[in-house]
Amino acid sequence: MKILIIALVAACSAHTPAPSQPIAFDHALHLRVHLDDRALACTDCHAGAERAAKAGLPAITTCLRCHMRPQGDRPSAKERRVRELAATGGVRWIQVTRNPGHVYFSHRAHVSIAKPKLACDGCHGAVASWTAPPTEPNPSLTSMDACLACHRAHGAPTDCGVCHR
Amino acid sequence: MLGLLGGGVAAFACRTGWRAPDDEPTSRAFAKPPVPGCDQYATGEERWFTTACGQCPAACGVRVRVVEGRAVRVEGDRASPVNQGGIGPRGLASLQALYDPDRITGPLARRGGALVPITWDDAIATLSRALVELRARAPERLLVWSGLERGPVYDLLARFARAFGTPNFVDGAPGRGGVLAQAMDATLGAADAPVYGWDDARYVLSLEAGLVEDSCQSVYFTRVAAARRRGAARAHLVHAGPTFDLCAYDADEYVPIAPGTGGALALGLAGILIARSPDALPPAWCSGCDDLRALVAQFSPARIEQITGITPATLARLADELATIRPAIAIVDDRSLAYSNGLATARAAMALNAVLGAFWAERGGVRAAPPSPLREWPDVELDDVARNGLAHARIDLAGTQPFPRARSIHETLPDAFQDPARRPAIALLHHANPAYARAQPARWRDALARIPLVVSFSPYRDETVDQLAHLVLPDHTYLERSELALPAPAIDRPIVAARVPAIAPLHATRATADVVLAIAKQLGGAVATALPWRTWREATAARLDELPLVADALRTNGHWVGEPIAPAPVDVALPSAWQAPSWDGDPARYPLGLIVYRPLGYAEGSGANQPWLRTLRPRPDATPWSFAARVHPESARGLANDQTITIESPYGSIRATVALDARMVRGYVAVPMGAGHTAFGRFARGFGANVLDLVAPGAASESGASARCTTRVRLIGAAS
Amino acid sequence: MTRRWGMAIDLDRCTLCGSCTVACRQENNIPTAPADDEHKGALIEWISILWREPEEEGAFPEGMPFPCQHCANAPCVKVCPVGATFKSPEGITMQIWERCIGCRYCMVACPYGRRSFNWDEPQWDGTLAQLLNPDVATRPEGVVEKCTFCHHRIRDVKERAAVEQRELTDEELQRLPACAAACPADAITFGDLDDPDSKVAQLSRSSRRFKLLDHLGTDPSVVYLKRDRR
Repeated sequence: MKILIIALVAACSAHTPAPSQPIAFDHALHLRVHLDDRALACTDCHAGAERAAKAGLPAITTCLRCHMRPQGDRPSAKERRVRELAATGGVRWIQVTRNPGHVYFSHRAHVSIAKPKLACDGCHGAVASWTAPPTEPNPSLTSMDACLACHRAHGAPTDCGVCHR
Repeated sequence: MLGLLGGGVAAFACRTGWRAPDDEPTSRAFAKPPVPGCDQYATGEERWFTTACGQCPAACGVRVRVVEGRAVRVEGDRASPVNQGGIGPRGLASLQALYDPDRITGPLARRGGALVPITWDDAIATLSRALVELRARAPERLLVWSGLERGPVYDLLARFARAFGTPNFVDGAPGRGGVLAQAMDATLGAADAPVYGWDDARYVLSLEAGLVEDSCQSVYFTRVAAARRRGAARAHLVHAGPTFDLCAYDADEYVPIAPGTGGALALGLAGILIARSPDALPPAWCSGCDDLRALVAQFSPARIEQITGITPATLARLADELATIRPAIAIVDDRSLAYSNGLATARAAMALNAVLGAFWAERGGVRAAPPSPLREWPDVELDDVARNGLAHARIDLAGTQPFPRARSIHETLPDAFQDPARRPAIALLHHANPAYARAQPARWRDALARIPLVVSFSPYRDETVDQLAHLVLPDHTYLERSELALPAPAIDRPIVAARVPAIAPLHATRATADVVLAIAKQLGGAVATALPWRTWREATAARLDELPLVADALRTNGHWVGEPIAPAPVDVALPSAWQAPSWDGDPARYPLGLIVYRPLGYAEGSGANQPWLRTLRPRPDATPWSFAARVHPESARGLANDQTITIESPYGSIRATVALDARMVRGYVAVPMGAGHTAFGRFARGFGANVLDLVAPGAASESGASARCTTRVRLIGAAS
Repeated sequence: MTRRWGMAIDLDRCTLCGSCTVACRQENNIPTAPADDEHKGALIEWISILWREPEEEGAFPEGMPFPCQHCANAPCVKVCPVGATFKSPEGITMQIWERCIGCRYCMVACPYGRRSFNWDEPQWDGTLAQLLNPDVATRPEGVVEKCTFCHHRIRDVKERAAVEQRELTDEELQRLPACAAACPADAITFGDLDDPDSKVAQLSRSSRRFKLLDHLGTDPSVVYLKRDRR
């Protein structure tokens, strides 16, 4: 009975269409870009990762820091889209991977506080190869087994209250 | 676990067509509550705004946490001179005032009996046309009623009324213009509530004051009460009153007295102190010393016992303590003065303060409130229309016999509305809900229904909006507004607080000040000249002209605090009379006096749409969600606890449950305000009854105050 | 370094205004039962005002803010059949809603009655849902809930200090839980009972101290300081 129910729930959720982001963001392209003398980092756009629980998705003003003027000779289609969004109240990214409501996940605890500090691609995968936005939730980010395996391997706390809320 | 199973069953049912048997509680079908932080949040943007709370006149400093555009927390601002980090229940409930699901979402007009949405342009044009027409005909027929008591928005409405040419500007709150302010005016020549130096006093006598419960500065007084209990210089607090309320609980000593007799107690104590030390009153600074001596001579300990119920021994002990523990002060506030003799009681309390030297004490005394530092707008230049209009008498009779001291009066208005010669043609109601919050609401409804155009600025569909208003121009809530606030008097320094919008307006509401400016523009002529600012921001900035330090402090801290008012050798005028409170109704038929009180939090009912406040108990020993009449077991005549009864007065009857309370003074029954809403949203409706249905109408003589504790009642059990 | 979170409530400062109870509702997304008869007794309260009538006639009654006592020897933890309630390493009696099966053994076991059951699905009408605190999960119908000493705020301040590479200070802990932060009378002090210099540890050594139902051996982490009337 219970297996049947879970299968039905899974069947229902599998029909969710892939989200259509306001801009088809190319992670790979951006991670190849150099600002002055350094490469663009994840935290340049996901600014909360090192100091807050939520890494955050960038506001349109973040895009405008580089795309206020066209990067090429004339504005690309995506750059025109950025300006259009900026003029009409900003960008509403669709968050693809979400934690369940009873889970607290803190980016800063993993990338700033943990010893050793974790790198972003350790959990998020090869972001530098993504030419299109992710379309499906990353299951390894929402599986308690995956969390616990890593916590146990590194001697991180496994007290329920650390991750549950 | 249960969640997963429940969700699964629902999914299963929808897939197979399987139905639950009829006896299954299908209404309990499981649905997940909204999961905060997961469903709609994405960017992680979090901002904090420092602003001034607008839930009561105290204007505590608050910090509002806004996550991705949603206000999700309000907490006290540690830097605020008023509350220093603490916050009262009402301040916390600001979020429920903001997100009340029954808020008005845009302007409304009454068409064929129902309120229907209209555009702002239509709303402003409709009102402006009516005002233009009225101003040409009879400007004095405009009534402007603001429930505020001070601050630039209040000033703007008063200025609009004056430039328009109507003397009929009515204000609502008790702080300025109320009984206490009148008593201060009579005593010190300063018409505002006093500043009590409880921070430094060693002995505090509360005469029925509701300091930590329903005063205009309850959070400030709570902070001081706590600070003066622990620490080096402990203050002794004695509370005299008819019910065991929070102030009684917080006192070192509770002295039960008959309601409305605090003034007699003050005069009795003053008499003993004067007899002991005849030079207690410095004649150089006090006028009316002989009158006061003659007055206190009438209040022998035996007579005091007869009036208040305090034994001569207790009276003598209190006088001893007052004589030896200094600085000492006597405190009265709105709760002490809710009787027909409020003005006399306040003047008697101030006479005792004079005998205690409180007006001249370096520290721990009683002072006139510090004046507002804001610059006034330039004087209104009146045109002929305004001059003619302002020459008319006020319809509320304020300032004339028998109400010489009143600045404005509510209780005389229903009669004026009924009188075709005085009836306003247009009434603008701002922070006012007279169809619920005044004595005999049915009388108010009937009277207001005779006004051809009733306009409300309320953000909520309260009784006045729901049943009477023809036009509704909803204001923002304070978390969406930008303005300057002047807190009700608390500390001995002037304070200005800045109110900034923490979130963008949730609905198509508009700040009333901006609406008034827009209307003034439409009226043109002298009215537009008197209100020349394009925006409210500009008008506010004019109040800070040449005050760069204030403006800077407001920008960086959200508030400005001035220097303490220096103790000055003020002249004090002493009273020559005191009256006992009068109680309306035949004592044989109605044996009990009705004490109407404002419970902490939901006040006179304006917090009733905020369910968090409803979870507070009206008294600490009451149950939540109860609506009970407190009465001494001996006065209850066999009624049992929790029994449902009818309370009847000569003016009406309501239902309530009985709460027997051996700490109540005998011969009275205490019933809270704030219940019995018939409108005002889903959380306010359908709980308890409106005690104001029982209260006798009529203004107190001389002060014109709406005294609420003036009526006799009887309790009728189900059997009789 | 061990820690034991605790709270000292000074009844001499408390004026019973109830701000702590409203602040707790705001912070922890506690639903408000409607006012009708059906819901009498269904009000969920993590902290409320406890009122005790005096034993001798004419004496003052006693009121006190009354949160979970976070017993070191917690009876509720012992009876939970699924491990939904447990003691955190720092002494908080935690409750994981998603693991709770709603058997309510813990409510029977708790001698203080400081646990509430969600009899109904919580209601957040319309725009009212927007004020929910994103740091705290809402609870569904059919689970037990309780005070967590604002565990999420402790976690936040700990992570903040770690990011800034500094130790937690007693000052930032003293008014950390929502009830303590709101209190206009500064009557509620929070902190580490195992740190002898912390304000809460100092207060817990006061001559006015007492604990509720101490004779049961529950060893509460909430210490009360008696009212002092002169």
